[in-house]
Amino acid sequence: MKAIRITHARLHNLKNISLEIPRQQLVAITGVSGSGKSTLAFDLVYEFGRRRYLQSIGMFTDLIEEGGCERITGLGPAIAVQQGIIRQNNPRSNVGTRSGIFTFLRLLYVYEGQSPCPACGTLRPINEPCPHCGQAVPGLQSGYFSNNSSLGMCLRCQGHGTLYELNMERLLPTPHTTLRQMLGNAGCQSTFNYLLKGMLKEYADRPFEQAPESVRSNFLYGIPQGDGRLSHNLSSHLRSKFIKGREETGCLDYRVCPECGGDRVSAEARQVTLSGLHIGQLSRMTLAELGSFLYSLLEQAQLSPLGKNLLGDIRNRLQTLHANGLSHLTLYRSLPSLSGGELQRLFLSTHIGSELDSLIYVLDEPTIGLHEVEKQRLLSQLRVLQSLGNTILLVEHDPHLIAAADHIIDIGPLAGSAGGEIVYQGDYSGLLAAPDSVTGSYLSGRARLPAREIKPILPAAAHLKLSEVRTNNLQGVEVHIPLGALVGVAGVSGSGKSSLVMKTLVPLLDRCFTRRGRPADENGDVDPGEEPSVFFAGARLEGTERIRGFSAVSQQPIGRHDNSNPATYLKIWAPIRKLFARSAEAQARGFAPGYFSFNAGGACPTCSGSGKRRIWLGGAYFANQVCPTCQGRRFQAEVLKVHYQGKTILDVLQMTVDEAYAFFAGETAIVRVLEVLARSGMGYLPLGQPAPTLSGGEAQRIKLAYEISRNRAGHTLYILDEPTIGLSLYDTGRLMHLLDELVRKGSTVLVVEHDPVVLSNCDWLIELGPGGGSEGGRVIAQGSPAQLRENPDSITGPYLYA
Amino acid sequence: MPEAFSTFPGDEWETAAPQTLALNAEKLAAAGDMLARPGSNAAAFLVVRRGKIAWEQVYHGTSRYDRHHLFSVTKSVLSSLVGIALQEGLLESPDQPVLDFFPEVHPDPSDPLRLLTLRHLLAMASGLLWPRKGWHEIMVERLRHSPDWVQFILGLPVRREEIGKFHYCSAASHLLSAILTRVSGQNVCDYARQRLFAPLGIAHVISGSAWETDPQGITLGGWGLHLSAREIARFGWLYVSGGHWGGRALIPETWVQQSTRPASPASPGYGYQWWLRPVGRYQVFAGLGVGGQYLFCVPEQQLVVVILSRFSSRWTDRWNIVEGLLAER
Repeated sequence: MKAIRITHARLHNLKNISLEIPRQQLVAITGVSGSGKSTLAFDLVYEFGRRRYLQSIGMFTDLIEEGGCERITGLGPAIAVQQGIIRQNNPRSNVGTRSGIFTFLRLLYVYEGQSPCPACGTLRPINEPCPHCGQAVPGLQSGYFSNNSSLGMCLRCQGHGTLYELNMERLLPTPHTTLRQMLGNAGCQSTFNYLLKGMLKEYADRPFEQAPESVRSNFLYGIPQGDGRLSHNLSSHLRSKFIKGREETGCLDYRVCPECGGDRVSAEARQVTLSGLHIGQLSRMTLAELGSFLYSLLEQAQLSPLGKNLLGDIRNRLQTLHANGLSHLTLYRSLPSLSGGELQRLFLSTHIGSELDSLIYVLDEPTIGLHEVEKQRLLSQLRVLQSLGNTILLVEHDPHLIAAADHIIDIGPLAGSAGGEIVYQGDYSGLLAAPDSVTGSYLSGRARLPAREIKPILPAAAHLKLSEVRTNNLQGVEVHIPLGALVGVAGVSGSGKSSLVMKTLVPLLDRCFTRRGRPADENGDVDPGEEPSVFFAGARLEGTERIRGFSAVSQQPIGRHDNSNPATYLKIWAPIRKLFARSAEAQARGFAPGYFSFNAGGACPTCSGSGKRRIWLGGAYFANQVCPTCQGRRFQAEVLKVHYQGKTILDVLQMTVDEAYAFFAGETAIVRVLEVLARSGMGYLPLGQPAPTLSGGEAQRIKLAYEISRNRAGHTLYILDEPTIGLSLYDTGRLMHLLDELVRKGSTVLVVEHDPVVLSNCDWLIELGPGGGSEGGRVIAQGSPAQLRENPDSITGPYLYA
Repeated sequence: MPEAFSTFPGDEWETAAPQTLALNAEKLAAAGDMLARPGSNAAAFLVVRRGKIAWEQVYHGTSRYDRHHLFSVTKSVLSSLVGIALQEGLLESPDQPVLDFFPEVHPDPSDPLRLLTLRHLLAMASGLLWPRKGWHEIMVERLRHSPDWVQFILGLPVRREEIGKFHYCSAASHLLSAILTRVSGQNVCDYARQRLFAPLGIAHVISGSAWETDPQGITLGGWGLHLSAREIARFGWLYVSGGHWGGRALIPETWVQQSTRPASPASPGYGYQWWLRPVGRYQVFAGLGVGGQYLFCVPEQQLVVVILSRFSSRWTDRWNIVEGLLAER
């Protein structure tokens, strides 16, 4: 049997383990958070597989394999689909480009498209002379159908489909409106006050329309400064506010491009049709609708063999996307706007489309974000990938997927130094029976999650009312969020959960609790991406006087640099450094607390404290090497001569939360938050783990721990987006305990969730659906878990536990 | 005027041995050899000093009188015509708004198109939306597809924040040609014939062939002029002579100076349709065209160097030829 054979793996917390991983099977790697399963799957199998392959094709010849294990054989080229690896930030990258469908669709238009002949007006194919009058071909290439190409984009909106424009009626409602009043209308008096007192003093209280054209224009739109920037101006300011969700005066319109109507391509491209529709229209339908259209095209139109082939390729891809629960998306949907799960499944679909075999796919919980109903479809997709001759390694928590695996490797028993061993290898029934397996004991029911006491919610209970919500696909939704409770928002992918909570509720709360444009707290992160939520204005939120504040705890990373880590984020790094600075050795050398940080002299000058050197191999390939100057010690030698209670500052960074909690006993500022982290199942986390290497789920729980440790005296609304990502049942239990604690202290916790365990333990559930995209957007059930179980309209109900 | 500047070609250029013009024949031969290397697309190499040809070499069966497409060197010729039009009063000043010349266009009051002047076009700092990939101006393709080029260009969005910032855009040059056409009442090629080509001794530049036109018949401003090395060298020599030719000022000297200096502190390498670069101690201004077309002018050395090539999408940069020639012994 072909297998990957690993001998004496010692990387991170793995305890010199040796094992065989069968090839061409679906293998689940299980264990609690921090057990070492990701190390095994990603840092060993994936990294070595990738490295060996690159070496064999001559791309990676200068670097030596750096430890980790004694020997590893049986590898093939490896591909990883992991959240950290595939994060996308370019809004021009969309479902159509990533799936490859746009490539084929544009070619389809090139070869089969029709447009009215400029000479005689009859509808004729664009790649042949006009059959009616003989007029020559326009000869359009595929770039002419691309909203991302200079050849095809609508020039007015540059292919984005939307524009920002000042609403002059609101800014200057009457001919007498002064500059000062206009600023009032736009809600920016404080920002531009300096101009009223200075340069624009003489126009401040006179009708703005009477000011000279250049003065008006310069203030409204700015003067180009020759370096690609504009002077301080109203348009830019409102636009920046709008993107952050803080513009509510209506003085800036974010509207559909008047030139292309949101189709994003040039007029010339819109003239070319397939069965009466142009590419812009096809790019805006859901993939499900597109599938139907293309099917009827195949039936009705006279296509050439090439056209039929192209159509076939597109339909194959659509089918794979459908099987992965992505039919509610559109081709134009940008990648940064997708949820973590959707993004991962999109990448997975592309891999399936590539039809390569003998690869090793290493996937990190590909079922993230999927409703139970959708997980089966994904599983069959993974089987397809396997049937092509590939090996599928799944780092998994989901009971159904673990049960479906051909082979299971359980790492543990617990996390960090209490993990790193192979607890069990074999089939599912064996796992359930394995005595030492934490995973097995939860799956088999031997261990149970402590059931939470569910609070009955009375109809008259205090609540927040969110109404008139029309964001994205939501259809005038109204929901009541009972306060002092654990509330869950459920629904299939694309049903509108994120639109309701993250894109409507959160920005509305942000406005409510904002003072002078700043967020209520640093963690209330509204994603400042290029695409603002479309049209959440109009939605109303009532009852906010009953809460003190809110905190949206997302999965966005806690930092983008290697020098950001849990210690810096949780603000215990400064107190720790102070302790070191107070030691006798530090005093003797004259080290201030700043010297122990990464920004100042104490850090290794070569790697600035990251301990690594990143080497560019060409193309998109990078490799990390240990910093040659400090050998990974991150600090200069003299800094490491200072000890606090026998440990150096580097030792502290390498300590896990559990170890640090014991070490810093007595230092309340430090242990308070460590205690919360330990309780939420993150005791295994090293204090100095670089922020970019943390999973979204880990980042979220760190933020949550930080919030809790700040000791807000109840009456806060916490909002969490799929907090159980990356958690085993064991860890989920710990998280639930934490959330319950918040509720018992008088706060409200709102979770957007798929996990039936979490949902079953909520006091109140709001379910959106029934489907995704235009088939969703409505509240289909509201009530306690028990009520949803009895509710025939609820899709989630049947999956909830009694 | 110094002796050196009083020599101008008549019907034909005079040739002279390099050493009589204080040039090193070995260096010239070495440069000529570099252009002859296998894989080189060079077609013609010409060096003029003090009004005479010091070196001439042709490659790959080219004849010394063959005309080549100059591509963007055309822009530098266009620039001289703008200077002439200013002198003649057809244009009032470089700060004239572009829209003055297109009264049929009525943009919104807030449209930044209203802010553009001739200077912005000349300096390639118009902010016109014109994406490129390296040297390749993708938008040219789209321009070619449009039925009315000038209308297409005027319809391009102007990115307000980019006005004043250097961004090479052949559309801007074409707009200048359209403007010249309107104010002169003639085809730019005809306008150039009377004022430039005829006095320079460049004959038979036929509109539509030797200088291409757009679908509306407007002479191309950004490319499209075909001349031989000997012919374009005359234009270069005119510039090295400060716009004077045989005792006449064909182009105002002030314009020659203004257009061959940085258009703004932010763009030290570009004037008004001329590229600028110091080589050693000397200031060089050049017309450059894709595929290997070069017109180097070094007034301080009374030198003109022409390199014309058969168009190739990958070509060797030839500034090193001038650098070699100007290097101290």
